[in-house]
Amino acid sequence: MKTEFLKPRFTGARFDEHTLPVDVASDLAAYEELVIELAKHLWLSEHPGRERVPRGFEKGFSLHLEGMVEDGSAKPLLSWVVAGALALQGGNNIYFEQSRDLIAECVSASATNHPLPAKFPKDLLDHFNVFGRSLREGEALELPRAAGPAQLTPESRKKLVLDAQRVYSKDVDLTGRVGEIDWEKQTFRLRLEEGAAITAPLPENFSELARQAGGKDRLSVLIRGVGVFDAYDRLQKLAETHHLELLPNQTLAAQIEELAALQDGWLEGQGKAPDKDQLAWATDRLVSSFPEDLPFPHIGPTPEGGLFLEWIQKPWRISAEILLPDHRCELQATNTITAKSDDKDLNLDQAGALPELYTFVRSHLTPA
Amino acid sequence: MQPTTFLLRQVHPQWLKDGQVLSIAFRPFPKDDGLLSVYDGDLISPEASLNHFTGILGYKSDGVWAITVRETEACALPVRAEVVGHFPEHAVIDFTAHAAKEQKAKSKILATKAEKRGCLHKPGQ
Repeated sequence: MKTEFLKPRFTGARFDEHTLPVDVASDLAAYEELVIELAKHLWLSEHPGRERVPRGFEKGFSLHLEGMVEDGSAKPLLSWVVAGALALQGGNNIYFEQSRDLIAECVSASATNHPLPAKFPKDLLDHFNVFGRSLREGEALELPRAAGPAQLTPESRKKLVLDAQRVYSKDVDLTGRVGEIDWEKQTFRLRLEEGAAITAPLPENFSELARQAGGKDRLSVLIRGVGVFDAYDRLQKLAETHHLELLPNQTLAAQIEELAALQDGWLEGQGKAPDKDQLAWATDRLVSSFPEDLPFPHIGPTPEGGLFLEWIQKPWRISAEILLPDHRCELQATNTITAKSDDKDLNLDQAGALPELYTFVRSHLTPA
Repeated sequence: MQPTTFLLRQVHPQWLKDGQVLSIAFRPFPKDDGLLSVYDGDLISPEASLNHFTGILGYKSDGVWAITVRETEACALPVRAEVVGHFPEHAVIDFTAHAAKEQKAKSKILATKAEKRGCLHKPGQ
């Protein structure tokens, strides 16, 4: 037997096409778990003296994603499916419906800064660590409610969790360097770009990548997982590691990618912004070939929409000016004491040009 | 202007990296026809020049660096006042006698001298 249970509505840019990203499935699964746990609590509250819910209580409840409501919104239809024999037991069904309504009341109270419903037990607020975790800034999950929909947003979800405990979890993308690896505990230290370090779980399937990146200053990693934050949004640790990817020469890549934010007129109303595809080309070429023994240059834009790389090591200033989209490179090393200069022009589309660029720079830098 | 007069140069945030001034900040832009705009330090303080540049002209600056008239002339770069409208403190360093590659080399020398002297005024200081 199948009964319509809930039509939640997702809002935000990711849902504009009226489709559901697959990571939202984890929210719906977490919602089902919360409905069951709250229904059990409600049943026990009404049956003092009983320590357990009746046998088969939760088997009578299973949510199925039936499809999308065809009204132009990202609104999945969740149906309550009950096995034939259990459908006849009917009496306990009311607790699942009460649970659904109480969850919506709880979400609404948090979103509107009202006290949480007294019937909602604080120990179940922990479920909001998972339910709604895939929501990003600007997104919301609306739960239907008689007095108007209850909006679960990243902010109201955080408040709900912090009402019961001192930390809450959310999905994170982190970039950093792999420090010490504890093979026994299967964890590693992730040194974040901003300077802090956190401990992260190291699943077996990422061990080899972590080993490659361990202790290497120029080999960063991108981690996707679940971060644990305090009430001030300070990351405390990583609770789960879902994805680990190597990012060679990330410091260099970040300097170039930062220039993609420039707009035409950035320099006294006249500077031309570098073309984003050309920046991607330059990032790819430099990041994939940059030698380990060379210091990274400082990188800025040129007024003509190109890249200006400069290595500063007294008495030398060595610049590589990359003209975009021409892919020409004007190299110049100047001894700022003697005023002696060496120049060289390269075409970066030609094979061997980048090694030549690096050799030019290297030949003018004083060995450390 | 005296040989010791400071020529004040505003440095765009994109050309200040990890506290170091890129030499491109001391090079004339294509629109400048070989003339690098500076403030005459005898007529305006570093702080007032920054306020004028960002507040009146509406441009971006991450700080004021300086070279002296003597330093620019040692690079064979003449300096002269060039009043623009209600902007009597405006002066230019003339790069026009030099080819593009020479201009770049000279900008490296000027930037190094300015950096050695240090930032004279930063926004919010």
